[in-house]
Amino acid sequence: MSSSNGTMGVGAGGGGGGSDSRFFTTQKKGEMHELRLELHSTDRNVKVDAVKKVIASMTVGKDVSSLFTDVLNCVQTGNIELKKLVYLYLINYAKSQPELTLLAVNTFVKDANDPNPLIRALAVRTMGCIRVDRITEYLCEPLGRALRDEDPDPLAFGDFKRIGIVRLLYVRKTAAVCVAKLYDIAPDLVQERGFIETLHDLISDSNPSVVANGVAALSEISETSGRDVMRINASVLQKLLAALNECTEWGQVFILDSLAKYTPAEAREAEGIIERVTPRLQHANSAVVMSAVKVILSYMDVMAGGRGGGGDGAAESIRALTRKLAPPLVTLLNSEPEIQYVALRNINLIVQKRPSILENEIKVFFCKYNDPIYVKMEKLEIIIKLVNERNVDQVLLELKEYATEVDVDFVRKSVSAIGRCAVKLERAAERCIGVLLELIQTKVNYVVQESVIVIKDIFRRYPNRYESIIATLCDNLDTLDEPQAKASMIWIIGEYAERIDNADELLDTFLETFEEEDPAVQLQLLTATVKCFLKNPEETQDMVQKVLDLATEESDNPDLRDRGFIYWRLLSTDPEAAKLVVLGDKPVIEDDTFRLEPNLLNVLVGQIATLSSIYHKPPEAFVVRANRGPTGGDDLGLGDVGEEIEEGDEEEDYEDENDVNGGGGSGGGDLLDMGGLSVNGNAAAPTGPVAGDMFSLSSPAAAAVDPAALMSKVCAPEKSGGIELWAGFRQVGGSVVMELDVRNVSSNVPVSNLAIQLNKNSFGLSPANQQIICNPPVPLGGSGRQSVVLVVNPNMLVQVPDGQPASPQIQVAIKNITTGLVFYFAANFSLDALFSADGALERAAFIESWKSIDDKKELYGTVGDLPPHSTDIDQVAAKFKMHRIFLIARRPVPNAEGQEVAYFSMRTTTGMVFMAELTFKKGVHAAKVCIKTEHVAYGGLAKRTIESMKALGVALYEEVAAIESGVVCSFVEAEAFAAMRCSIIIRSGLTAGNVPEGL
Amino acid sequence: MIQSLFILSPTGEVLVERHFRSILTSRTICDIFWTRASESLNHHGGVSTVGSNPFPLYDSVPPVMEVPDVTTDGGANARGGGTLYLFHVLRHGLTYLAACPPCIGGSFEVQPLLVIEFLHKIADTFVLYFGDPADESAVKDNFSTAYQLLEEMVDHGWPLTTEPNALTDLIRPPTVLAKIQQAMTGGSSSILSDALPKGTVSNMPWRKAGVTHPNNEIYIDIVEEIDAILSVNGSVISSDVSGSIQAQSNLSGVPDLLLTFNDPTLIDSCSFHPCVRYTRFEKDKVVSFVPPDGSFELMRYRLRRMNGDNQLSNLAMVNFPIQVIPRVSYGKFAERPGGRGDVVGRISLSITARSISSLIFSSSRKGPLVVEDVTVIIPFPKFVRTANLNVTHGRVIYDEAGKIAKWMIGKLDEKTRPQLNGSMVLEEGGEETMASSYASGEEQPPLFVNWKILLASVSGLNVSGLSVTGEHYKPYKGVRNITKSGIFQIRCY
Repeated sequence: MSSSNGTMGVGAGGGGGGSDSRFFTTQKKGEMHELRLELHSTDRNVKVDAVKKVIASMTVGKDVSSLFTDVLNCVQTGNIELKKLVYLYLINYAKSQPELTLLAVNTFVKDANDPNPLIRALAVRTMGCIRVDRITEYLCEPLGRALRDEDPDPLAFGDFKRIGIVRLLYVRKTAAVCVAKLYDIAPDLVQERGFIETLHDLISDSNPSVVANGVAALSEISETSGRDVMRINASVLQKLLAALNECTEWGQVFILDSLAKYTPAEAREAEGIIERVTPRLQHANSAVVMSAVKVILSYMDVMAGGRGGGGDGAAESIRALTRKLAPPLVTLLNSEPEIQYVALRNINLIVQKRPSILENEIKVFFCKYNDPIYVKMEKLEIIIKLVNERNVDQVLLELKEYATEVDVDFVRKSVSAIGRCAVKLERAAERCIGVLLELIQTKVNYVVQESVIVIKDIFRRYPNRYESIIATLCDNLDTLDEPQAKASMIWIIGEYAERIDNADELLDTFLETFEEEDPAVQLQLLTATVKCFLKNPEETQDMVQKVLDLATEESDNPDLRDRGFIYWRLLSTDPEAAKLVVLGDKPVIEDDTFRLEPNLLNVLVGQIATLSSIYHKPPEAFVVRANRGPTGGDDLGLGDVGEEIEEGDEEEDYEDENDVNGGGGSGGGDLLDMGGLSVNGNAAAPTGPVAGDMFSLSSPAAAAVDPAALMSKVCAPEKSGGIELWAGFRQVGGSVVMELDVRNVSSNVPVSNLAIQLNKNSFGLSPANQQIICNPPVPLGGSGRQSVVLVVNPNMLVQVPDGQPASPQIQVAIKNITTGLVFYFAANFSLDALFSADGALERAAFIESWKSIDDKKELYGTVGDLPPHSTDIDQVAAKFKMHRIFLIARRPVPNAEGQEVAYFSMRTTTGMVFMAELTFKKGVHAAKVCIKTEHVAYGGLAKRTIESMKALGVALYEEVAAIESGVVCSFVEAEAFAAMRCSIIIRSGLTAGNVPEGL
Repeated sequence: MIQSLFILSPTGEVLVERHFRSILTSRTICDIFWTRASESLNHHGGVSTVGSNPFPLYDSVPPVMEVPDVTTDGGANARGGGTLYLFHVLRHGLTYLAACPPCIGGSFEVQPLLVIEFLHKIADTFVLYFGDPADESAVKDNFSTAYQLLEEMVDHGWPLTTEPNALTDLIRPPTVLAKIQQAMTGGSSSILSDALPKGTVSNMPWRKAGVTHPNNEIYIDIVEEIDAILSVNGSVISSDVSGSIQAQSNLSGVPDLLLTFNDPTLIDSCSFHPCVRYTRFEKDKVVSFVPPDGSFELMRYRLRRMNGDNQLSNLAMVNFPIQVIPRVSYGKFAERPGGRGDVVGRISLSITARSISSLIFSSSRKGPLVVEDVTVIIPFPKFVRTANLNVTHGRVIYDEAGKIAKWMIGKLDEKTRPQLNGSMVLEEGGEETMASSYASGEEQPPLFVNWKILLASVSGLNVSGLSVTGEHYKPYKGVRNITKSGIFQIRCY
């Protein structure tokens, strides 16, 4: 039944001479002149060809704007093809050269009154595409007429009268779209001329296509203006439902989408509309189907909520509807892969919201070999969502099959899916492990690594049940070269150290390369060694000492150091308590990879068939933009500043999964909050001076003066002849000060006279005075604080290499003049010590700079688990102000209830300006941070500064409570949890009565 | 909605460019798209999954892509960066690329399926106008028609008129006669009608007015496609039957048709062409419609299932009319000194047709079972350099670049038993690739088999009546069943 066009296409290609492709031939010199002559030719065919040549040149990217008047000349023609081509040219150049378009005004006005409705429609349509004020003025008149246009074509009645077909009014249909265009250019004009009311009239039009375009125009204006100009009421609703049956597929989508935004008053109304919408599920166009699904799903909630809290009747209707939804969704999987992909992303949400819809359809989600990879990956997700004890055997066979395919990403995801089946279905876990062991036998590198990662999750889900396979895993130790897999294996070794004969040897081999390992692996090594030590102290004492030294002395990774210190103190204080903490029960995990939090899920289900449903992000994530409508005043003048909160990437999906599954990669992030915490823990230890909770809000004394510095231990006594040094940075009276706590731990000679020198650093800091006189001298067992004033010296500045973040590290050399001993240490600089008091930008300047900085230079972050007072912008701003971070503006996020954005600026004394955007959401104890700066290299430091300030507002116990009540999934978190408990024990056991205020 | 539309050639060159909003999207986004797309070139180990596509094109990029908006429009609409969403569809080597903002000045969010469906519609329309395949040269040959079609199909970034009947009324498809005229005179013949076509004044946008045919006839094909995955020993891993009713209508005037089925309960779920009156089907299980002129897909359907477990009812597909037994293995068969990397792959295939009880033949059918258009497609793994294949029936072509063999058998009855035998030579170092890979043999991708049986049905669904009202003539009516392969794959291990 193929059309005979096939031969024509070939004929055209071969014919050459007569086809349009000849216009693409390269042009010679003098071509423009030749073209111009042709445009003025009296022969119509020559003219048409000339305009085609012009458009062909336009397409290949040549500038043919010089021919504007010549082309425009051709518009005076009765030939509609020529007219269309000229208009095509006009639209193209109207955007770049609006002033030239003015020359065409007369033509437009004339054509808008042409007796031929095609030409009238063409003129109105084209004028709407040209954004020139003068043209806009002329547009209103013909547009008003066009909206009420009646085609004076008696033929229209011809054949159709008999079966009662009404006339489709081509011009009105075009005019409806044009109102939306005009609103884009001149919203006031649309209001003034009453075009919105006219659009409302069009909704009652006899012709469904006119209705559909009217609906589309009204919806767009509603969105643009932020006001509901659609105003669906009972009568509008009936008209929309009537038009739904008749109009084109695209019109049906527009109507369904506006229905989805309407909330039925009560259950019966919802049911009534659903009944009218249900036949759309049978449409051949997938967009219509998906929009219908969206209406039905969102009205279902109304049905369930109605009838006195959802009676049996409602429940029955919902069940019936649920059954109706499955076939159309399954049918979408017979479409083109692109459609399948979008459908699958939506099905993913639907399955989470209403699992019953597709519970019996798992087989349609089995992957075909030639499905594109993006379809396969999505199908796998759905398979996991639908797997149950009845079908798990079949699913495992499939997954095993997939694990032998060629595509590495797909194979890995399939292996990981097997693990997720095990975590989800207890009774199938053993079979899953069997399959994984078979896969490990293939010795394919990435299959083995992925298997180890998921087996770790299975162990966490079912502790002490499948240790028998550990031997097999250990055989494959050499294969592991990816951090995640290594970390997982090390975790297993640590956890089951007592069952593995040579656990200590195995760990020891890893320790040899400790310094080169990824931080995730280092953290696991540390924990595993400590576990091993607690289980078998005699043999592993040296090893644990070695790893603690490595973690606390050699590493510059704060997470590792902090965890090292905690373990160290714990072990040296009370090994029994350490056992309780480190070997304590861990929270049981669930498979919640990709499972969306219920509130977000509800939001997203309401957004089915939109971009949100593909990216699984709420609509606000795509747009934070003030409305431009005539009434949508933008109160802070920041309207165009906020763009996106979050960057999305199609690859993100796959990465997410790794994070959640293994957790290895996210270790840094999870423990960042811990950083502040354990420092506080140290500060509270009896030997240390109370550093004061300078960041806490309940410290008025600190608020009045410059904030105090956050001290950390930088130098151990064994390196420096018995002197322990703690350092921190702050600003005093406008100058940068390094606070130095000198603690004489074991030096018989009191510390009295030191000389200090700084290495070149990223901030150009050097001491104003190299000599430090301790007065009084610090005797054995005593301590004293010194302030070293630092000045910025350009000669001391290290240029940060392009594209790399600046190091916060400042290397310090100190000579004890009395003993002659020189020692070195490094301290991390906190950028806020450099912030100057004049860091508040003018609002206008802020907007200007914000706009001028490329989005690529943005840095994002999230601060989680904030205590309630840290989500109050007033309090945050007050606290920030102490640190010379100034609030510039704040405003609610449009279209997102409860969200508020605050903009801050800060300037360093060296002239670097940072701008920050913090987004808070009511009821969510987290904030998004976005930093913009020209000094990209330092952006990360600024971000960390802000983040740390917020994290430090956290009360320790609150945070523990939050973690304990929540489900802890990632194993990094689980360890963090243990570490947290440990620090409490230190505090409560050793410093009872010495808890600083504010905690 | 859609901000800009680009059509890119197989080499990434812009063939058509249209902007529907006030912003001129920079062409740079095409480059960004192309770079990203090229990264996933041949994701499937050299086997292009885009059907018969001869171009080594990307085929594994998700159809939606988030890219930075690089448009620097100096005008009032200058936007300080941001994001654009690119939707794309690949057809006949051409990339149909739509750029959509997440929000233009606050306007409503794009609906991904609408954009993708629409891009497919554009490609379909090009096929209708420029012939199949509507590839690079076809679009170049007809670029001004292409522009004019787009003009009618989109306004303000919204899909508008896409019904073939309505479009052909507004813009005449290039006809053979016009082509000849054009070639002779060297001039352009107008392809546009000068007056408002009558079709557009109907509220049946799918049908043009005033259609006359010297012979009034309508043909209905009930096509059932079997998708299946078979294991190496022939057992069914999954199978699925989907049906469609294809129609070719050459009827004058405004005929109102009513199609009835012998057993409508066989249909489980279906989707219809816009011309079908849904409510009527809901109520009476009959298909009532005024057809478009020309060929179109009337409906698609899926078959009812017996129980909840996905098994097809009376046709628990344990048997197929065609059976393929593949034997593929890789390894060192001829261990000779210095003969490394010589013959390390062997393949043999046998294919047979067989009558199966689950196939329901039309009463008009006579003679033994004949399976038509039988083709076997054998993709080889990357490490294979070349294959020497011999067949007893039909002919076989090996495409070295694509590493794909195509064995065209043609007609197959129960008596003929075609065989394919051959050996594969590996790439330099391919042996290591293979060895480091799975246990031998497991690298071989599945085979695909295409076949077709006329006048046979899996479901037994048939048309029991087709009546025409509203016109006085008696049309010629033809109805037939076809059963064919959909994606029919056979695993090799």
